[in-house]
Amino acid sequence: MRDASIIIAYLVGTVGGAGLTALIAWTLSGFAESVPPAARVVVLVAGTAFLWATKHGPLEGRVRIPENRRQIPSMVLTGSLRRGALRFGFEMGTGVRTYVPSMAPYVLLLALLVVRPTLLVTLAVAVGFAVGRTTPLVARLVAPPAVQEAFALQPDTRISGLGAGVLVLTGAMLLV
Amino acid sequence: MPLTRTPARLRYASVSLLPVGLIAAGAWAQLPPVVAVAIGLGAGLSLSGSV
Repeated sequence: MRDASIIIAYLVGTVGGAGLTALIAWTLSGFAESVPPAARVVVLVAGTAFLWATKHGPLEGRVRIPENRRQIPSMVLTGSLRRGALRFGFEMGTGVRTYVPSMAPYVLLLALLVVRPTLLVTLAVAVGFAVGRTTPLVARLVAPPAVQEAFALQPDTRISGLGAGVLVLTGAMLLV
Repeated sequence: MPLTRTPARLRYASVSLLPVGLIAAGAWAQLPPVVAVAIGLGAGLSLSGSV
C-alpha cells in the first residue's frame, strides 16, 4: 500500500513535469505553424540524424547538445516519502533536470516543436513520457524478481538509444 | 551473453515492443493520441535503457 502511494505520487510528479515541458514546447511550436508538412518531415529526419551523430555516433564527445549533467539533488527527497517522490518525479518528468543518456527525448522535443500537434496530442505525449519514466520504478517496487532483473540490465545505449530515436521519429512522422 | 540473462533480455525486448505495438495500433486506427502516447512512452523508457 505504501509502495502504491509512492508510485502514484511519483507518477503524478512525472506527468506534471512532462506536461510542463510539453506545454512549453507546444507554445514554441506556434512558430512552425506556417511550415509546410514536407519541410517538417525534412527537418525531423535531418534533426534526428544530427542528434544520433552527436549522442551515439561519430560526433559523440565532439559536439555537445544541451544536457544537465548532474544528478537530481537529494534535497528534493527531504520531507515525507510521498512528497519526495512527487518532487523527484516532477524533476525526472521534465526531462531537462538530469542526464539524458538517449537521443530519443531530444527527438521527441524536436517533434513537438516541428510537428505542431494539437494540445490533446501534446498532452498525450507527456503522459506517455511520464509512464515511461515511471515504469522502471514500478518494476523495482512491485514486479516479480524476473522482471526486476530485466529492468536491472543496462543495454548498450548506442543500440537502445538509436532504436528508441527511430521509434520516436517514425511516430512523429505519422503525426505530421 | 550469459545464458542466465537470456530470459531477462527477452522480457526487455517485450517491453520495447509495447511502444512499437502502440504506434502500429494508433496508425492503423488513425488515432493520433495513441501514437503520441507511444512515442512519449518510447522516449521515457529509453532513459532507463528499457527500450
